[in-house]
This record gives sequence, C-alpha cells and structure tokens, in this order.
Amino acid sequence: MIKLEKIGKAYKADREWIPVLKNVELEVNQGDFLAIMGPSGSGKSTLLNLIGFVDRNYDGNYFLEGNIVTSKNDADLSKLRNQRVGFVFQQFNLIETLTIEENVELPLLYDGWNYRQTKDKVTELLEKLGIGDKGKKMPKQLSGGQQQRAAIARAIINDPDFILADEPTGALDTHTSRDIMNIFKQLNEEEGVTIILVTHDPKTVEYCNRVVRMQDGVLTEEVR
Amino acid sequence: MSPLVFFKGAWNALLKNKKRSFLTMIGIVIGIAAVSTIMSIGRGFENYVLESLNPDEGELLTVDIQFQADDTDWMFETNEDFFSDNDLRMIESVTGVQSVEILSMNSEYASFDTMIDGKENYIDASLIEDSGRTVIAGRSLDFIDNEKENRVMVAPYSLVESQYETEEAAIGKGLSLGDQLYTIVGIYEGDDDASGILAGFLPQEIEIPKNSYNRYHEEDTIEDQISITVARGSLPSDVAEESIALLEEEGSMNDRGIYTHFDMSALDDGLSQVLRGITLFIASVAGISLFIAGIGVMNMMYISVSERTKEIGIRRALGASQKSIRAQFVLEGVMMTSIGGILGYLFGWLFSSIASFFLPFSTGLDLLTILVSIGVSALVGLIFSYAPANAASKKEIIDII
Repeated sequence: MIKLEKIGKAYKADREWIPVLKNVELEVNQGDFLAIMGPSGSGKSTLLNLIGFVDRNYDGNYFLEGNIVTSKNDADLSKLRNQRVGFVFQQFNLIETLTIEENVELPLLYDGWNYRQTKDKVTELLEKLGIGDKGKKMPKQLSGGQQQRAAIARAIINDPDFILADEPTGALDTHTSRDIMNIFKQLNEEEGVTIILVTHDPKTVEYCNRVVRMQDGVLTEEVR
Repeated sequence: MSPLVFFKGAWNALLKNKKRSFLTMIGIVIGIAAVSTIMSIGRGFENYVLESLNPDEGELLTVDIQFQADDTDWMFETNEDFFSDNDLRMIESVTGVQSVEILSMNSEYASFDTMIDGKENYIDASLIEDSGRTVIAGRSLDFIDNEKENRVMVAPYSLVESQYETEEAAIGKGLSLGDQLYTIVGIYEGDDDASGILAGFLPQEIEIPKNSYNRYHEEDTIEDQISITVARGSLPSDVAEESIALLEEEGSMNDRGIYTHFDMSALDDGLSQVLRGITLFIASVAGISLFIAGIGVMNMMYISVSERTKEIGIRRALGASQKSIRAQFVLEGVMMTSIGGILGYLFGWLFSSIASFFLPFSTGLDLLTILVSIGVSALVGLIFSYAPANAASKKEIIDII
C-alpha cells in the first residue's frame, strides 16, 4: 500500500546539512501492524510526518497505492490527510475548546459532511470505544486514557487506509497503555486497519507483527 | 466544508473569548453608529426636501434646461435644432422624468428691431390669438386676423407720433418688423408712463396675431430650452443634473456649448449648511474610529492566531487545507465586525430618532442605511483580518504538532 523509495532528508544548520533520513526504503502492506523503533533524534518522527503527508520537503519517491504523492500541492495533500490517514499523538492533541463529539466529527466536516449526517456516526463510534457517555464533555474533563480513546475515534472516523500513531501510550500509565494497545490490536485484527506505530517502549512492540528500527537516519527491518 | 460548519466554528470561537471580542467590537460599534446616524438624518432630510419640493398633490414640477452655445453669433444664425429628437428620447429614459418637450421661447411675446423715422427702435410685441385690446382709432385685432395670418398690428400712438400727426393718419400705414411689412390697423393710447420721462427707455409694446408671427418669423425664434416634467417622488435637481450629465456626454450639441439649469432646490438654505458641517464632522469621526477599530481587530486576530497555533496544526493534520484555515479566521473577523455593525446600526437608529425631535423632519428605518452599516463593518473585518488569517494558514504543520 505504501512504498517509500530512496527517501532522504536533511536539515540545514549553521551552513551545514545534517542528514535525518538516509536512503530510506520501506513498504507497508494492507493489514500490517508496523512498529518503528529507535531512540529520540533518530529521525522516526520525521519519517512519520512524511508518511502522513505533513512534510513535503524530501528527496526520493513516495507511492500510495501505486500513485506518486511526492509532488502534490497543499489542497491535494490536505485531502489525503483527511481521507487516507488517521493521526494519534502522544499528547492526544484534542482541541480543548471543542467537546469530544465536536473533536471527533472534525475530519468528517473537513470532508464536506454537515452536522446532521455526522451525529449518528460519531455517537456509534464513541459507543464502540467505550466513551459513549462522554460526548458532551470537554477534553480536560476526561482522563488520559479516555482522551486517547477519543483521539483514536477521531483518527478512524473517516475510515482511513492507515493509522499513524506517534507514541500513543507515552503519556499513559501501564494499565491504560495496555487498554489502548488492545484497541489498536482489535482494530488491526478485526477490521484489518493498517497501523504504523512509532514507539521506544518494547512492551508495545509485542502487539505488532512487523518491527523496523531507525538509527541515525537509517532504517533496518528486524526479521522475526 | 459546508458554509454552516464554517459559521458555527467562527461563532464558537468568538464565544470562547466573549470579553475580548466585545472590547474589540466597541470601535466598530462607535464608527458604524456614527455612520448610520448621519445617514438616517441625511435620508430624512432628503425626504423632507423631496416632500416640500414635490408634494403628493397638485401640479407636477418642471425643470428647464437651457443650451448656451460658446459662439453666440452662430447660435442666432444657425437653423440647426439645439435639441434633437434623440436628445429628447434620451432624457425621457432618465429615471424621474415624466415627459420632455422643447419650449417655444416667446410664446406670448416677441421682440423686433424696426426702423422708425430713421431711428432703430426695439419693440416688444404681444402675440394675440383672439381679440386684442381696445383702440382709440382703427380697429382691434380679432381671431380672424389670427386665422388668416394677416400681417397687421395694433400700435401705441407714442410709437408713431413722430411720423403721423393724428392717430387716424397712422391707420393703414405700414411698419416693418424684422424683414416683414405689417399694416397698422389700430392705434391705442399708450400708458401714462410710456409718455413720461421713461418713455425713451421703455420698449414700445405692439400687438400682432400669433399665427402671423409663427408663419413669418418662425426661423427667428431660438428654441434653446427644453422643459422636463418631473414624476412624483423624484427631486427636480437630481433629474436636471442627471439629464445635463447625459446631454454633456451624448447630446447632439455637446461640442458646441454648455447645458445649464436653474437650480430651484432648497438644498442650499441654512439647515442644509449646518447639516453638511455636522455630516463632515461625524463622517471623519466615523472614518477614524473604523480605522482604529480595524487595527484592533487585526491585533486581536494576530493574538488569536498565535494562541491557537496548536489548534491550527491539529486541524491541518485532520485535513484542513490552507484555504479553509484562512477562511475560518477571516470569517471570525468578519463575523465579529458585522455583529459590531448591527449593534452600531441600532445605536445609530436610536441617536437619529432622538435627533429627529430637534429637527423639522423625521428619520426612520431605511434599507440603504442598514446595508451600508453592515457592508462597511463586514468590509473592515475582511480587510483587517485577512493578514492574520493568511499568517495562520501559512504555519508549518510539522512545527506545530
């Protein structure tokens, strides 16, 4: 589904180019639960932004379902972000001035839905993720685990091709982490959602079926 | 995104910062209140003038437009029409014009140069359609003279006393008017004044049949005026000005001279002078206030953008394009100033209602004022929130998340 060819990226600092990604080659298939591991500063977040159509300044080719996305404009990339990918962040990144329901329905609204159409879908999804009674609450009134569930709901409401999760359990305790990882596992196994997980927590890697390691901008796949 | 979603989003964002939004709005409210007050009063005054100049009952008003050639000699010699049929049709299409006609000048009077006893005299002639004045010798003019276009005249004795010793002696004699010879058929006694010390200065008035004049002297008349009948509800001065503008643009004689009209409107009296002063003052207050308010809006929008940097990043990650981020912030600015505009209009309405107690006319709700109030305030919002909104849309998502 995703194919990265010879991806390279460098930052300019003090008139010197510092490489972050070096010749990265990666293929992600439908149904994969892929973990990207590596220490901080290894370039894994940069890679994630690139895969998530956020970053457009890189060398090499990025194919999505055989179509090149490398040179698309902002409007097209925004559309891809909206329809093809769901983001889950370490700090949840819910918009604090909106209720949980309003947060979850945002991707649908940017996809051109109107309020009447979104309501049922949002309620159903919150129900499924076990926070059906929290729809009218503000993000701050919820615990970390509940907020992350809401964030996951927001990530999958547009039925994306894949989910990008950037250390989704980094801000949660062990017990809640396990719950959240089980939700991902369930989505992956029961609904075939492709998940790309950035983490440096070995415990969460156990849920994945593929692991790649990032070290100084070089990507290597771990054979299991 | 559907428009409703945008509106709700902008509305929520404003509500989140009620106090700040309200304070920013005050400048707009003052500015628009000033604008709408002065507009309401102005419109009230205009209606008042209209009402007094063109009441609902009675005869319709007319305005006259005169053509004045740069070359006056040419004007007297030419046979060309100063107002063509095209000109008239053009003016008929002006709003507020009921009808247009060419004014035949001197329809009741005519004037001639004539030689009497070797001296050049300037005389006025009344054009008579039926019976003329009573005479002391000969006969009066009657309608038959008019019907038959007889070249006959009745003259005061004072005009001819230097040539003929008695009144009777003058009867049957000829007198040339212009290049036509007329027969004197009657003599009347001149006014007392005419034989007094002013006699030499006063024009002598004779009588000739109207049709004779039209038949033999038609080419001498100068049809340099048209009369426009103004429809009810229109200001004569507006109609005249618009017609003149049209004539100067496309009139058949526009390269030969100028068109003028006598301004009979009361717009130049004291009340309007005072109002004009007040208008100027309030307009400048409004302008300055709106400008400062605009800067305030801009300031607030920049603060709002930087406070919501994270929100912008999240929205972008969820699929908001640069365009929709920009639209969201612009709409917030426009919505805020528009609300300010509506409040300002309501205040303006209140002020002008109070003002109308002290003025001889009333002010009221007026669609144009409402549209201008809301339009101007929305425009201020658009202009001053565009730059902050654009800055918001240009934020790099990578830096934000």
